[in-house]
Amino acid sequence: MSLLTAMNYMLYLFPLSAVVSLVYSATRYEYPPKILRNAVRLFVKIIVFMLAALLILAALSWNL
Amino acid sequence: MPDPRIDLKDPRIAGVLAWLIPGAGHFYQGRHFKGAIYSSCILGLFLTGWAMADWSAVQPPDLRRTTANKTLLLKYTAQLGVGLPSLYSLVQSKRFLSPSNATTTQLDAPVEAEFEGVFLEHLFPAVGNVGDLLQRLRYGHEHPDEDWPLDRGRPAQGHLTLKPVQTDLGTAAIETQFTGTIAGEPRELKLDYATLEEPIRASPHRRVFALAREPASGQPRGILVASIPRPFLNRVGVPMSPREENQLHARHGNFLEIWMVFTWVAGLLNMLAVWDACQGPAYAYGDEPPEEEAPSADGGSSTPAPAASGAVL
Repeated sequence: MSLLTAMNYMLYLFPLSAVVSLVYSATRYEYPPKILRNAVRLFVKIIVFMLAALLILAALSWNL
Repeated sequence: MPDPRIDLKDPRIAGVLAWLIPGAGHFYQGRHFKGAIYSSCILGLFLTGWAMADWSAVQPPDLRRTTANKTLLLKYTAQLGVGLPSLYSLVQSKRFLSPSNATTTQLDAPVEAEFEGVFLEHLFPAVGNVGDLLQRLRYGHEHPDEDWPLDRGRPAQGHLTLKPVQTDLGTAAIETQFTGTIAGEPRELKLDYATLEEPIRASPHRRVFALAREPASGQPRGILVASIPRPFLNRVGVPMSPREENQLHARHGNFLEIWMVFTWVAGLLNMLAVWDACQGPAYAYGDEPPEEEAPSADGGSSTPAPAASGAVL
């Protein structure tokens, strides 16, 4: 699979993570500003975690 | 115990509504912000996945042998989190397996549609019995691995008119007229022995098999195999045959997995939303002031601890 195709797949991670963050935060709190703040924080955490996983996997598979 | 500011109304009704349509339970409770979040996010994610997979992402297990395909059962269990579409696919599965869902030579109402198909002109003279030939074509459609002649036909497209009629013997039949082109040449043909594929199937096209005759002389000219559009509600959520599943994979490749994941994640997220509709938010309302931090080990603290009376002995 080419890198470009792989990047295409990863683009779908963003809406999926946004939805998961928003829904998860909405089930924790009732106050809208708190839900939105929490959702943004969770979204950033998910993306950073996934990027870290991507970098580790890319490093491990370097020159394979 | 939920915050007293949150009116859950009847939590059971809210839970069922939230399960059937994401967000509906919260709208019922007057929690419009959350209702909007759940309906746009969960329903949006589910419908996106479903639509991108040509409305074939929701596949109910075989009702005759529910546990035969455990992978399918697991996938469907995740999708069952969004109630209404999943339940509809169960209804579709029942309609699909019903004995009345069979190839037919009868119509309830006239059909007029644009179509694309193939015209098997050269094949006809070699076959004496038209009924046998139609039977073979239908069999070939169901068994693609076996030899069948559709790929040897000439491309045909145009307008097809199908009308229910009574034959001289009093039986119901379909009167069919074709106007269009065959291999780019304009043709008009009268069609006999028209047979339609099952009405309920996962494919967006419904095949019609018919014997084509010259309109003036009635001379047989060949067999027309046409595809007319199938109504949306007759194909969405219908179980797929292995062949239809292979075609779906061929069209979407690995992206199909992404669309499936969308529907599974939406189903699982809706379980959290149902819980929220029944019990309220898991932590708190969310507008409480932040808790004061306890003094650290070295005695320093960002907020002063309250003075305890009589602490000095």
